[in-house]
Amino acid sequence: MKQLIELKVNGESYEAAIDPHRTLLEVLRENVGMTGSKEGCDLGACGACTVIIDGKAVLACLTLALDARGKEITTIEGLAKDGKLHPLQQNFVDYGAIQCGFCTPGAIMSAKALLDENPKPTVAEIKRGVSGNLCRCTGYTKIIEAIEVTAK
Amino acid sequence: MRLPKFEYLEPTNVKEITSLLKKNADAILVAGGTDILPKMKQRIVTPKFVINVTKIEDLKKIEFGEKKGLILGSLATLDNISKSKQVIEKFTALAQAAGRIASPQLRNMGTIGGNISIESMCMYFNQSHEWRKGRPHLCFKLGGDRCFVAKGSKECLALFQADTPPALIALGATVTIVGSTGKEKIINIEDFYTQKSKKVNILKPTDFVKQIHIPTPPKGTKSCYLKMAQRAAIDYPIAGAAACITISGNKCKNAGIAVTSVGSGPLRLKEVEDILIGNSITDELIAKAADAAYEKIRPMPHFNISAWYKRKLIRVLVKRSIKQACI
Repeated sequence: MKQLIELKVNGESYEAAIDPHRTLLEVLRENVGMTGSKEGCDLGACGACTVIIDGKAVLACLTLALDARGKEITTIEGLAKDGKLHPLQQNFVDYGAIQCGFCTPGAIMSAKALLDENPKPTVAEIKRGVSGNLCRCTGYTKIIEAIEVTAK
Repeated sequence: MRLPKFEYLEPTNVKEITSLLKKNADAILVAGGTDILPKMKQRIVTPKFVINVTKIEDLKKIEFGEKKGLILGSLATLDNISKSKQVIEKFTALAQAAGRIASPQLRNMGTIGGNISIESMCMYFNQSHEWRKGRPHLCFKLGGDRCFVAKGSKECLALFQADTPPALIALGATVTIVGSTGKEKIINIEDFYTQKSKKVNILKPTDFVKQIHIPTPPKGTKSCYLKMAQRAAIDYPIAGAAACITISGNKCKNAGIAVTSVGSGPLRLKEVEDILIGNSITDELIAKAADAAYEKIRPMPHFNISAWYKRKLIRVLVKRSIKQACI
């Protein structure tokens, strides 16, 4: 049976009538219309669907949408303000940390959660922070560089 | 992949979990969901009811007192455990084990109760519905009649690979299980495991893990967990070893040694402990203890890792973990 739920995404509230078996990722992409979070492996191994819920980076593909009710959800769409990219996004562009771009939203959300918790991470901490995000273009060096520059 | 359809239930206290489990057969508890939701997507399990327990704040606690020891609610996340000051200081092996599991995102979601109750993994089992359907025979774990890990085996040989159980065994933890009548049962974590791959733990469908308790280690105790995996993150161990050593007056007073990823459950190595207890720890003694671990385990080859390599690796990991716990 469908349930009417309210999700708080990037500070705005969205309503959707959904079945209990829908994941947060599906609802974000299909009901809310935010396709920034990507569906990669859909089994929790790749990190392409990373969003921030209540300050912690989590995987939207393994979160039930019903479980996300009443929580503060931040997606990649919530980073740019007034048409200006978030410093992390800008540095990902400037340092070539986007190649095909598929892992980028997830990697940026992981990086944001890391920098929110630890504004001056060491290179080792950055590597650990984005270790849950696979980049099949293998552009890891540039991703780490972009995060390092943002933290400075 | 979509999740199969189910009915969603959301209890708000511990009593309600028991009554919901009793009322609804074919129900499954979901906390972090990092293990069970992929299995549901792959149609390995298709429960009629999903009971989301994450709204029960009581079960998320990480409490420590000198007298009462460490109490971990089953819903304490692996990330919070690995970053808790007291856990790092007094129960180092547990913090190390929790901090090496999977990836930051999965540690933020995954819970300690889920990690100890995790099923064994196998490349012939943890696959999509289509993959399994395409094979002519089913394995034991899927209700079939054979094991693909070792030809001719009479039982399931899927590998148990969770990281925290060896650390908890070495630290002497106990598990509180709530049964169908609501009665609590406290057992040693070693007895929580059956050492059978088909059903790894003793939990009945109406049981659930409420909390884990570790007594405060005596003075002079240190512990360490070491894991070897093919990748630094998002990977299960090829082998893992935990050691907890109490030294008093230059002699080893107490020792706890356990290993994971070498069989159908986490394994406590009593033989190794007996070699250490009562003696002063020297390099020769540690080497002797590591040799005993090498002799004791009987691993199966899994994926591309040979049994031979696993045994050699366990010898090294046991040696290093004891050394680090003695520094």
